[in-house]
Amino acid sequence: MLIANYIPLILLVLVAIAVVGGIIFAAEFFGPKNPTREKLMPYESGSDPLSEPQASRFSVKFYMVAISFILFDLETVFVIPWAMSWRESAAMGHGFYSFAVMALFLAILTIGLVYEWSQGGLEWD
Amino acid sequence: MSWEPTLAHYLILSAAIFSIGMIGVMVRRNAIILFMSIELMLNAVNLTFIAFSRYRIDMDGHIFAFFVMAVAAAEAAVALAIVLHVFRHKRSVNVDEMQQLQY
Amino acid sequence: MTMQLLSTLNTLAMLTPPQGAEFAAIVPGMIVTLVALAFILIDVFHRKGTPRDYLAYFSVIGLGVGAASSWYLWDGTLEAPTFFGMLYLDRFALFFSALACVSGALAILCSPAVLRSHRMDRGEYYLLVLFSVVGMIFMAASADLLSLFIAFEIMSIPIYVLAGFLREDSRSAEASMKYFVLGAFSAALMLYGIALIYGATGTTNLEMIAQNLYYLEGGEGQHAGFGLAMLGVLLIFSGFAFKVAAVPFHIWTPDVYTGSPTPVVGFMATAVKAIAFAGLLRVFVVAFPLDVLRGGFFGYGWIDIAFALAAFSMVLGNVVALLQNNVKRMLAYSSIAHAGYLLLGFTAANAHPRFFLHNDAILFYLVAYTFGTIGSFAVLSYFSRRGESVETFEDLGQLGIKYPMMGLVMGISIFSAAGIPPTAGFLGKFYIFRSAIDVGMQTDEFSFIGLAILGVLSSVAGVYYYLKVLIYMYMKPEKRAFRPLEHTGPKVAMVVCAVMTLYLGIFPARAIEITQESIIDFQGVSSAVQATLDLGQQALEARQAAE
Repeated sequence: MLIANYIPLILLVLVAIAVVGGIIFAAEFFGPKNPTREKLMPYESGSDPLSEPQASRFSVKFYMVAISFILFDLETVFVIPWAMSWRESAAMGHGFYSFAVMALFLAILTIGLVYEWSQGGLEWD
Repeated sequence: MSWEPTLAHYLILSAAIFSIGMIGVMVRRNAIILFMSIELMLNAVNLTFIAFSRYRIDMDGHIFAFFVMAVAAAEAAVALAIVLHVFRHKRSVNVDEMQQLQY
Repeated sequence: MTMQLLSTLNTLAMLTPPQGAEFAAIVPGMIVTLVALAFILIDVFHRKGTPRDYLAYFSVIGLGVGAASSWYLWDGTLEAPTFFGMLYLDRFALFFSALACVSGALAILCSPAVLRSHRMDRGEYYLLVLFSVVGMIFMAASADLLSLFIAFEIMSIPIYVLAGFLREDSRSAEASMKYFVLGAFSAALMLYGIALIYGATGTTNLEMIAQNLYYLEGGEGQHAGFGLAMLGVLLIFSGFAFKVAAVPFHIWTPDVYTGSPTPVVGFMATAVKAIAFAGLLRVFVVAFPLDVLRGGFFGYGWIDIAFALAAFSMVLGNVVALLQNNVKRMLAYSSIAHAGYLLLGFTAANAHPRFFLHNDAILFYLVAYTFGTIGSFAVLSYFSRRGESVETFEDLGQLGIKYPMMGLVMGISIFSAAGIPPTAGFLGKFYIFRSAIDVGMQTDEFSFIGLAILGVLSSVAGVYYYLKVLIYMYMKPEKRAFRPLEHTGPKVAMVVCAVMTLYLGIFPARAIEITQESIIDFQGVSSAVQATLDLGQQALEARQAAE
């Protein structure tokens, strides 16, 4: 872990800064300028990010989706180490046991999913 | 120059992050930021676990960190639901405005 | 290379299935988990618009089966921890799983009418109580800081939700917010303590922590790792002190008790406190028995912290409770005072390995406290109709005369909480103070006797505010008429609590025997404590043979 090991990384960062800076400056100096109101907004998609927070509230529905995502996403944290070690478990002759443990874990998660579905957590409207 | 990050560096970093989270919980008044500070504390603990685990060449700390992540996700889900619940009643997420229960 | 080899060895051990006999360790928790999972599937097919009382009774029966399974396993305990050093199967764990199941069942019995009156007749309520009980069962049994932390969170997170369950009540929302912020904060502190302990010792298993700390101390005196461990001990203690509502960590208690749904308060006041004490005993007795860490007699260890917290909690809880006008708020401060008495027992019994058997006083106190407290909260939930619930002392006017049964149950519960014979609460306090005085006499250390005297004095002061409840119920004029929430559930809970409080107060022999058996079967202790336990085992067998 010598600092010398990081030299390629530092070089990459320097090159990235140079390239991005170069492009921005080139666009600034050589590009044609024809400003309109829409073009001067930070995002050219037409949505104004500087409006009052009250005006740009978003729906609670996003919250439901985000939370469901986090909860079911984290199961992979446990599934991946299991998948990595299953081969060794099978070599020791405990493959079915190992499989059954993970199946139980997933079954409990599935019950949770069934519950969420039945409560309308997956409906958009 | 030869410089190597050691256990102490990771511990100092994680202690600093943990303290930032702690101060955040004590000083800030916005409920969402309070929860972010608590998440910061949990993740500082994760960093401590991973640093010790790596230092001791032992997998227990990694396993602990996984479970802390799962718990942090469950806490985040509950936290956001509680903030929504409070917001529906008070139209505000400022914890200083929660004085209905003090006499 | 070495790293890969070592981690592979670790993993290989984990990949072998545990012995068949080890599965007995998870039976009580597994029963409650299965009940909860079955509950989800039943609730999916619930017909809309019909009451969910049958789901409440279903969970009560499930919790009853869970408690009965601990009884069934009572004679089949194991000495070594099961599941790769994760869980103990000893009578101490079984005792607390039964207590958690009973407390959860009584709280559920009080709930259906309250929920319906608040238009929140939802299945999730019972589900959350069940999951919380699962966490409690595993926490009392945990043999590793990992299983302890997971169980701690499984216990806590449902209660944060339950505190804010009444969706149309803004006070409930506020209570759950306060409880969550402070609870998550203290859990994070505790977790940092666990991380430091792991760093100092390289393991999270309680027994191996004790072993490695012993080597660390014996090695080169004040090793740097030892300082980490001391900070870790302090942080872990603060996490438990929060859950038991001991004084510097009590700020949440009055607000949360006032705002949360009344049956939930009964549950969190009893089961959470009891299980937090179980975890406290488990962690500190098994993992930190070193004299340097233990301290005692103001040697600045965890015994001294517990000593200080006990003194502050007893005094502050009782004094501030005198000033309260709201009944639930008064009970909140009284629960802080009870935490003080329990910590007094904890301090005395763990000051030296040879006093370890005195821990049975804590267990008995917790049982007495559970029935007494749920009794009074059952009465309060009977009168907590939405918009017209009994809250202040004035609201209690004449209730004892209009509803004789509620008055009687409230009277018994209040007598028990105040420590007036012939109730269980009196015997609980008596055993706690006796053990403190006994330890003080044997060690010639006046501080224990002084603390016991402080406890007696503060509990005498406490009688005033407890009796105020009865005075208002029977002698003060009625301020307004309250319509009770007619339901069988709370009545059953009240009868059970009142009968048990009187039974334990008058015929305590069997209960004391059970608490002694659970303490004697405490696994994973150091050899000094084990010697005490063996002596206790012999004494108990001799007594049983004589009868």
